[in-house]
Amino acid sequence: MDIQLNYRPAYSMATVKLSPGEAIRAESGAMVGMSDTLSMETSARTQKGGLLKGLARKMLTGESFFLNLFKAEAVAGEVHLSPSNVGDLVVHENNGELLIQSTCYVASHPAIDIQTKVAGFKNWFGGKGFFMLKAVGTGPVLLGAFGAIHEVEITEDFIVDTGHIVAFEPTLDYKIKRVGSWFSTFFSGEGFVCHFSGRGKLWIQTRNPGEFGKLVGTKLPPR
Amino acid sequence: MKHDILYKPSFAMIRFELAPGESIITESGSMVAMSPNMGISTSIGGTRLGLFGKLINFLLALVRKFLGGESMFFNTYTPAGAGILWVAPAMVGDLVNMEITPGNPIIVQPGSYVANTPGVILKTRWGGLRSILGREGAFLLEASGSGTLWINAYGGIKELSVEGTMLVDTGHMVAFDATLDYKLRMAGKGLMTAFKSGEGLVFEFSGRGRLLIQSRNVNSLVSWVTPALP
Repeated sequence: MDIQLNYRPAYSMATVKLSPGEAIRAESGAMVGMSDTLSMETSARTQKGGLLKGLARKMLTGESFFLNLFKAEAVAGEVHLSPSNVGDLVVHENNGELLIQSTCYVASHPAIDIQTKVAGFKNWFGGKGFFMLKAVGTGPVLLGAFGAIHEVEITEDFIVDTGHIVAFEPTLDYKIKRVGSWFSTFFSGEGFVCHFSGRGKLWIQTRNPGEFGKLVGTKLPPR
Repeated sequence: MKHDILYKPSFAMIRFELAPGESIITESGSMVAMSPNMGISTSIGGTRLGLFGKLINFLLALVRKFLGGESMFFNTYTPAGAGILWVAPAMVGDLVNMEITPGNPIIVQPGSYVANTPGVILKTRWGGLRSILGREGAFLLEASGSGTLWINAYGGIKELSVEGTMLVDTGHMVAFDATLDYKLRMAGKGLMTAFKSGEGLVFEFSGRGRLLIQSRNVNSLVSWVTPALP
């Protein structure tokens, strides 16, 4: 499997070349184009009774819970993937576990298990569907961001606005907190932040989809 | 204080390194990340003192929010020790910093304000009818005093030097030296429909000074997104 990233850092697109027998799992809607020789299979993100929960999540948040598996059968082929957000793409060679903000997940090696229940993040946080996924396994994971992706090596405590989190290693301890006093929480516009401690890698995006949505949203005509 | 701007020109973010006790003032909602020793206080802007004065400040802030669509709450960040603060605007696009010197104020479109050092004084300037009709909201920000001001744009930022007159589409105006006069007019021999669509309306700047424009127009984005809504 060979993943090439083009058109970075603003309108990134990944070209994945698959040898016969190889496959890549991608979020639904990510496919831009693909070779005719590839097969595509759609599955639910969660297994074992997760279907109803997954559908419920789709109703509540609009997050699609289907994943597509693109496979090269007898002949090699390629598939072009791009995220729905304007921004950068990065390939992370996963070895173990990675916690990913669900809107930032684009694609991963089929050997990687994508889990949707992650302890510590209640679904209503952020209000804008701030869900975390857990990627477990070895292989490449394709992350997409709204904005540029900035990698931080955490060695001392660091606070990050929740809307700016792309992914982080689970070696980090994380706690969701509110900022300052209650007056600050409502009027500072910051709301909830994530307090990281310990050591590990953290990826952040330089634009906040919630803030952008609010800005454009307030200018839209009433419906 | 050390500062630099990363990820220009599309997704620019400011990185501040503050010494103990140094402060930075930013627009609300713009914090990306910070060190845990950062103290935050939120204020509504306005320089009036006393209880009645503060009430007026608050009412004006609300009026600004509803008329301008901008929240216009300001956060002041002051670290207990040395601290780090990363700030990014909501809009996609570039960020620049401008030096404000005494006696040379700069007028900024409120959506473009990101941050300032404490020596800069921000005042609301009513844009007048021309501002509302130009679909820029009812007010503009005036930055005076001494210090650094950070502004962002939707798209790229270009600095023009005005000598004489210059016409700028209303949605593309970011900031300008207060030495310039501005008027609202039609780009050509317009019709009444120009008022409804906002098309054909331009600001006519005259005098001498700098004018910053942005390469994208938020109103165009809104018109593009609106029919796509479910």
